[in-house]
Amino acid sequence: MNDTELDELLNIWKAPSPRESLREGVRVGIEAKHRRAQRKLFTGWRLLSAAAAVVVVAVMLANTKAFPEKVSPPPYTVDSQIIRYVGWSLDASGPESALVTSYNDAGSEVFLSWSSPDHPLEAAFWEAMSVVVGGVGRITRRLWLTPDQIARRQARAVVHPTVGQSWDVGERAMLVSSGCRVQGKVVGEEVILNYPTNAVQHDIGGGRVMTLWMAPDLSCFALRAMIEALQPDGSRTLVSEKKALKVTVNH
Amino acid sequence: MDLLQLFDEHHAPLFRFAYRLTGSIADAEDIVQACFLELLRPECCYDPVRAPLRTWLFGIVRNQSLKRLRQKAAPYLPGIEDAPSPEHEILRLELEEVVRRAVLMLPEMQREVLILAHYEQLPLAEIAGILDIEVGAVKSRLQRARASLRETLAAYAPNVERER
Repeated sequence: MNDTELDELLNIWKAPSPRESLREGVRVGIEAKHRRAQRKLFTGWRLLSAAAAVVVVAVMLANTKAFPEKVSPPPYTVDSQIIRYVGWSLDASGPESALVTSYNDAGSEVFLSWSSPDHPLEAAFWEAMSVVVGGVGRITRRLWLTPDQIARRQARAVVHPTVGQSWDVGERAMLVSSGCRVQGKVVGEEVILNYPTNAVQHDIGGGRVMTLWMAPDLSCFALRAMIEALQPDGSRTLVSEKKALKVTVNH
Repeated sequence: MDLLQLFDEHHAPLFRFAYRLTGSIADAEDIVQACFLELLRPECCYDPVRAPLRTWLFGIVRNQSLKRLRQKAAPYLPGIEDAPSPEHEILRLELEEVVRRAVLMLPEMQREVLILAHYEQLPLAEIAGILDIEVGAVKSRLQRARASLRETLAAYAPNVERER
């Protein structure tokens, strides 16, 4: 048998044509793969990222809607320095020093920004955390608290004497109208950066005392805040200190 | 290019190749379908720099076909009674079945080369690319396949048929 004869013989075996259902099967398979790929977008770490993004957006919305006063420019701002003394920190974490810009809104302190020149990454992390934690707290309060309870909380004056700490220093309206003397023990008067202040001392528990030098002209902003630890012999050791460096009045 | 367009362009020779390797229409369809869907996998290993798409597709079909053949241990060889047999076609069908059996009984390495070279008329260099072997190896496998078929089909050679 020569090559041509063999070829002729081999050509007798015809292959059938594929059925139309094959193309349909591929088309359906393509669609199914696309659907699975889309579902996979929302699995694993992608799902976590999407959830985190939703939380951040919710926090931003909550901040904007719940606290419109942050959007309007404050009447003044105060640049302060915070120093936490190692070994006596109230918190084990957080930068040891920080520069903050804040003001008082009807007796309650509002942070505008803060940084830590010596520990920029740590400060950025803390700032981000404070935004997220604060935002989440506002959302959960809105979910779990009644409007009355929320209103009562918002009526309280808060001061931030150091990194990561805030204290309730009384009802906002009463604090401002009383010349910053509504709670605690008045221990003196002092002029700081040309603003008269009343020094008020608070027992904050844990053998610690917080002294605030609050300026009635600045809606009771604490131009100085000091936390001290009481020693067995009666002496006091400085734990942290916040000092105003500059007051900027916005006209 | 759209995957369905690629399918329309390439599926016929791929199907024929899979069918002639496995001897089964159903297997050939499954293999061709899986071959195109392979292109959609995120970890799909097709690299246009390494080989043209047709070569890569033939390689996938070949691997899938051989995998199925090994699972089944032997190619599907239906008896002549499996095929519809109007009387006037009996002789042609018988001969077709003989050829089919002869090809399917070839060793895998020879069978795939023969199908690609004879039935799909692919250049030897492309066959070498699909099988990942040297062109010389393609030639020698093809020669052995044809020699084997000549021997198996000797009794059915056209001149022998005429002498009957």
